Amino acid sequence: MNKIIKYSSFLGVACIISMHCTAGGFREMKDTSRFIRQLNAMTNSLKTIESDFVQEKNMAMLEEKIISKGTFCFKKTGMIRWQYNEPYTYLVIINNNKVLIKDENKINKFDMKSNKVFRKVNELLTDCMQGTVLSKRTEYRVSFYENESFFIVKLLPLSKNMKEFIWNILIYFDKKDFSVSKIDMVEPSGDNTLISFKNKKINQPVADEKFIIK
Amino acid sequence: MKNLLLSSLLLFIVLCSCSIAHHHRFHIAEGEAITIKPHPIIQNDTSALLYKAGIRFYGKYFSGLFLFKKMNDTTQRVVFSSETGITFFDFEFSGEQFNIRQCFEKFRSKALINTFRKDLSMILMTVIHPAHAELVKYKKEDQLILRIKEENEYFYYYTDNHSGYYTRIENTSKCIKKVIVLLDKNASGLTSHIIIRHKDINLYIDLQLIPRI
Repeated sequence: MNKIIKYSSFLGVACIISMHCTAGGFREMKDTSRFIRQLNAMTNSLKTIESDFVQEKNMAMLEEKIISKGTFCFKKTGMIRWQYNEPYTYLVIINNNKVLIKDENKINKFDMKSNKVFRKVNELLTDCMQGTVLSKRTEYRVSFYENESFFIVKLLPLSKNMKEFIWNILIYFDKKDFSVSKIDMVEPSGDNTLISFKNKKINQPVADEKFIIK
Repeated sequence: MKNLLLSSLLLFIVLCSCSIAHHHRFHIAEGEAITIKPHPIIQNDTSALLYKAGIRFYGKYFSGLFLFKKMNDTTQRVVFSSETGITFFDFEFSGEQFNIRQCFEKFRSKALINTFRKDLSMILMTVIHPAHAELVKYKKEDQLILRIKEENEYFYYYTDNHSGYYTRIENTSKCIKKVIVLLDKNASGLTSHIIIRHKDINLYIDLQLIPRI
């Protein structure tokens, strides 16, 4: 009897997971090695990204979403600029492990190594954007899906620390150019944050001045 | 030796005078009926209020978003998250009950949680027993101040004479001022700016209302 309950529970959980992944019309990816090869090729040729973004936070306790908007900039190697413009201003510049945060009128500078939480969150987002997250297989259990428009990579964090604030991450790669279109971070509570990238410009000139930490 | 003693005494007096509470100068407002107005954050409805938060704690700076949400007549939630959406803590206040729904490891020190709990309880007025409340006046001023005594502490709620809004909250022991909360309202009557300044520890919290979400 116990065995029946055990197997039924396992099947139930498996069904729920599978339903979750197919709910958006996604199916398991047919040729993962080809996808990884193509993603690596894109990652190697990637020099810059400039994009607008819309961030939607969905919380079970709220009927409405918390929406913020801004711009994202990346330049190889390791230069990042996240700028929130609506409904508040917030700027993060990362350059060579140094971080600048401009929060309304306050400026805060620190070494990324000194702030583990900040480093983890930003590493995650940056690795997703660059497509280098797949090289961190020891940190995540990875599964692959696709639909007509996107390749989707699902990451389940393995470390206890990471699991504490992220249950899973879904990265949507555009099938046309392998650039990241959406990142969906699901928290253990079930609340999620979906960041959608729009008006992407890949490998266009981006001035170094955007990443200066004064 | 004598000089050393004298300078130590002077230093002690100077340091103490920075945070000594002046509450012995308050006197009971006789004949005034005590009315306790709802707390300053969420008053009538259950819509959420979102604040841009800046927290300085012993040289470290955290920024993020504070969300206040009234769930029902007795329960309120306060969520602190990063700008990128990661939840740092999610606290639930239900009467005198306090429930940690979620708390990031870095914030999980008992002292820090208790400090946040107390600061937020003070603003959300969750631990007010009407039996412990009295109205006082400062020196010869007319302003009525709500004073709550809880064990060995006092909570003072100052209101604006014209609008009736809360403008300042103080938490003191019998002789030391421990926490000062400053509150500003906007034209819609919403609390648009909250500053929580600790006198006994190096903690400063600044919350700016973000236009309605």
